[in-house]
Amino acid sequence: MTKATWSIVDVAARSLHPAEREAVLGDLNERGESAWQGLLDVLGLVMRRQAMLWRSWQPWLTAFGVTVPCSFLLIGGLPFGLPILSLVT
Amino acid sequence: MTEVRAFRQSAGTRPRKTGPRTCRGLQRNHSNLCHPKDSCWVKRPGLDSLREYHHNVVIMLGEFEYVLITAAASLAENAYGAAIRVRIEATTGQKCSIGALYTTIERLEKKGLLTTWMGEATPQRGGRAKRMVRITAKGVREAKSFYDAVTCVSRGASWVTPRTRSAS
Repeated sequence: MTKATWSIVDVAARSLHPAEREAVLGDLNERGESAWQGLLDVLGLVMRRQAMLWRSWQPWLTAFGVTVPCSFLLIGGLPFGLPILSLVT
Repeated sequence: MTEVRAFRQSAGTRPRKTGPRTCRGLQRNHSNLCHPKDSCWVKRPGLDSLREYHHNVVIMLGEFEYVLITAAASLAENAYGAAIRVRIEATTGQKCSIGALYTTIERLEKKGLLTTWMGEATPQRGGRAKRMVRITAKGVREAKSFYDAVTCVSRGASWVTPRTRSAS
């Protein structure tokens, strides 16, 4: 079980920068933390890193300026049940 | 700069050319906390005018940033992730997560308050390298500024132990 959890930790740490992954996994080894604690630590760091990406405007523009409108186009309708042709006519 | 100009026009006042006399690192309105003759009162010509006008507050280090810098400074050449974490947990009695530690290190590095580099790998770390940390001169200045401000604002507070001998 522990070995399996450590492999999950390794997988989770792959989304970190290689140098940071090296340091973080080394720190966990040095402190002899349990696999679950290590997993929580790594996931916490990964989530913080991902959250930091959303502090700039580009992801928000991509999400709400491109992705959401395109998804409605793909669905074939507008929000509130309006057909897409209502924009044209 | 455009925002500053707009603010000046709307306020109808001309800002002073020199920085205000202020207790280092504190809000300008807190000037009654410290006596102008105190050592912490300095002219701050470098005070960022945009921040001064729009927030009326000087941006200081955060408390965790200060704790991290102080822990790294006390560890000197042995300052790296795990050691700093142990030091912080030992001194504060609070749990310090790896996420908080490494995101703060990166933020401080971007601010130019510390530098990091990859150190040597040791067997006890499973052959993985350390991320070594060193405080820059700017980091030392900012930490001292924070310490001065906290010392200054704490003067007279009920929980502060008087350092001088009280008359018994």
